[in-house]
Amino acid sequence: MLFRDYLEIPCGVRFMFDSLQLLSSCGRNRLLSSSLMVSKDEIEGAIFLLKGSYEKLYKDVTPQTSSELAALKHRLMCLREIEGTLQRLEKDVVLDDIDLFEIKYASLLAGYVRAGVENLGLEGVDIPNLTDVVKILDPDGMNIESFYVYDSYSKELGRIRAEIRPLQAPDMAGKQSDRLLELLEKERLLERDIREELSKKLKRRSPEIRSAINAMGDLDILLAKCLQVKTMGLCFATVSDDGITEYKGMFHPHIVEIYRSLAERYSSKAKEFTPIDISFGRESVTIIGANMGGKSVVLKMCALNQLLFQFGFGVAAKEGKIDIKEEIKVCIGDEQSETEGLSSFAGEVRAIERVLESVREGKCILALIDEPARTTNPIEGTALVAALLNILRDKNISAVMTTHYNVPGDFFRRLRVRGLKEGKMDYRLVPTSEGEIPHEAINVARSLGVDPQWLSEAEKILGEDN
Amino acid sequence: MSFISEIQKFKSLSIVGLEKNTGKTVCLNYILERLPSSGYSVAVTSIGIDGESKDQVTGTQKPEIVLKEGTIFSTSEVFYARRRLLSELLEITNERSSLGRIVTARVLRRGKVLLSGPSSAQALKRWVKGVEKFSPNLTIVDGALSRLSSASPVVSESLILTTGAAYSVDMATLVRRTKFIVELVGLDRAKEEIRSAFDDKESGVWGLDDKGELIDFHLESSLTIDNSKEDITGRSRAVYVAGALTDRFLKMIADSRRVKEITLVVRDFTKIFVTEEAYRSFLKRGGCIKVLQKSRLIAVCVNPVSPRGIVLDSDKLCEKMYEAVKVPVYDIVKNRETI
Repeated sequence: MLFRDYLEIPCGVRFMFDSLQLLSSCGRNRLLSSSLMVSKDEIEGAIFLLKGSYEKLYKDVTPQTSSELAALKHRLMCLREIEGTLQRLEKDVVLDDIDLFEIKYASLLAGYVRAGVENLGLEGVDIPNLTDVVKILDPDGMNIESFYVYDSYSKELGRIRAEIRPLQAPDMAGKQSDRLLELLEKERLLERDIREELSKKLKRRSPEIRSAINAMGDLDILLAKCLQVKTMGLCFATVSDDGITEYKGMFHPHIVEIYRSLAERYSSKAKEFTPIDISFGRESVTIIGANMGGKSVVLKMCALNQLLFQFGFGVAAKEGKIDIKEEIKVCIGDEQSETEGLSSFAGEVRAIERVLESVREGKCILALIDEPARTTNPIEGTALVAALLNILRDKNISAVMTTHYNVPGDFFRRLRVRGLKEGKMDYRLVPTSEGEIPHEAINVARSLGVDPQWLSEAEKILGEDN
Repeated sequence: MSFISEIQKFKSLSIVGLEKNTGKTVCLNYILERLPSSGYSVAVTSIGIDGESKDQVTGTQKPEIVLKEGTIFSTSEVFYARRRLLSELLEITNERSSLGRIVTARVLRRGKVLLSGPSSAQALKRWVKGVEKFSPNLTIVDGALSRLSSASPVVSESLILTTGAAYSVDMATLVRRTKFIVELVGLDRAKEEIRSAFDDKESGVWGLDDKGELIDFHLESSLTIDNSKEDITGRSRAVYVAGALTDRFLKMIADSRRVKEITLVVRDFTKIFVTEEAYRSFLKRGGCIKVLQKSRLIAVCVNPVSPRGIVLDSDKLCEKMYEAVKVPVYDIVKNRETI
């Protein structure tokens, strides 16, 4: 799947993308159409590049590095997509001045960007050298970003142009002499021949030009990722060799940002995000815990970080060791779709069915399922969850699901949110055993200031049942 | 040459015709031709057309402009391809139009080109800013009759109006109607304290009371005055309309008992969309309109020939027009050697 396909999954990819400071539409499009990396070498290469560049750009920086970086970013802002021009070139269309300008501009830009990369000492970034292309479009060696069919392309052109000039009437009024018309026509034909010749020469260079533009787009992405590592405090995760994914101090950048902006609005101190530690192998893990205990956020963070890692971003944790997955399946949020005629239950069941499909195909996946079968009665619901866990057993997949049900069985791991302590929520996870289902719904509701009569009625009923 | 030397005092100029066939292109070509060739450079564009087909239907084809060596011009990709001059492409801008992207080039050998540049006042403003890097001495915007906004001081410091028999063949009517526009262009700027109170307001209707407190009337524009929960004229000494000023709004102020105590403020004359009748009655009751930004009207250029062949007496027209508008009036075709 492509990056763009993961954007709307409700785990925060969209937020990460929106806060990425991409400078060119080329970078933006390259990222959106990049695919999930699944090979160890590729991911390690990407993380190595990210880490190396980050250290060059933001660790012990000199003022010179900062100004070089600013200059390089300014260059990248000028990067334009010229795919249309390149395609015309490859289809043997004779390019006009605007297309030729675009190619010259991009080639000069590649030179400046190459120099910028060199000055910053960025390793592993290779922008193809397009000096030869520039030479084709800059016969006078002026090194400026402008273009026309220069006199020096042909002796005859220069001669004709020199002859035209004195023949023109100053105000362009009146009839043009036959000689002038003849010369203008000759000039037009000569210019056409030259453009044709230039297009032929450039056609051979088109793969290099394209790869230079792509490389500049990729550099744009790399610089934006580095900056994101810095501003969000992301880490460089490693590839796990034993099938175990382990995060220390995991956080959700979007929620941290919400806390920060709320604090700004009310000029108060920002609420602290409790970092979460979690680890799971190729097994099933259930997370139980109070409402508002951050269970769904844990799933979102696992999904987000897995995706960030496999798209070569920094990971939102203090440390991360991550098992590579072929697919990431996320069933979070209400899948209800009235427009498609789906009830909440049907939507949810269908989403889980898609997980099972991948499992049947024997793929190595990460499935993150928020409260499966929550929209039906607890008796059937518990049975459905237990059966799901049973099916996923020994299937080479990692499944993390949250639930309120007391699911029987000992073939999966159980985690619990610590929960309310002296009126404060402790979001951290601890191992737990069968039968331990927290009864904190009423306390949580009370902390929200809900009608006390309702809650005491509920407590009375619970007392009678027991 | 006082006309041309007057223009050279400014960094930017808009030329706007009050009607088609009032000689705007003639005027533009005249100015471009007469401005000094050496040591002085000009950047020129024309407000873009909304769509080629539509323009062809209404027949407002853009005429070709003659540009001389060294002139910087911006036009659409489509028109650039059709240019009949030798030019060096300098830049492809980020502005788009229905005729492709807007490109900027420098003339290497004189010739003709169709100009069609950015199509909104904001985009024109960006254009003026953008061509600064080629350091022209003067930027010229060829405005559109239907969009006076291209003459806004936001875009350029100075202004030339073209008018003529095409606007009205009755000389008295022509003079009166032109005078009205000239009067609006000449509205004085509001006092500094009023300007600074309203300057950053991009939309809505605002008031300023005696204590210098700003009042937000919570209106989207002057078109929605019915929604006002507050009496706009009640305690304001100045009322600012950020968007278009309409007849209804003007009448509302004119009908107030406090009309004489209120200064009505608009951003610039291009925001005034009122009939002459409403404007005159507002003034008669003691009303007063001021602007935040003002551009300098350099001249009114007249074309005494109407497209239907009626020809007014040029000298008499110039004389009557001058009496009414009190700025220089030129008939460029007739007097091209003397002005």
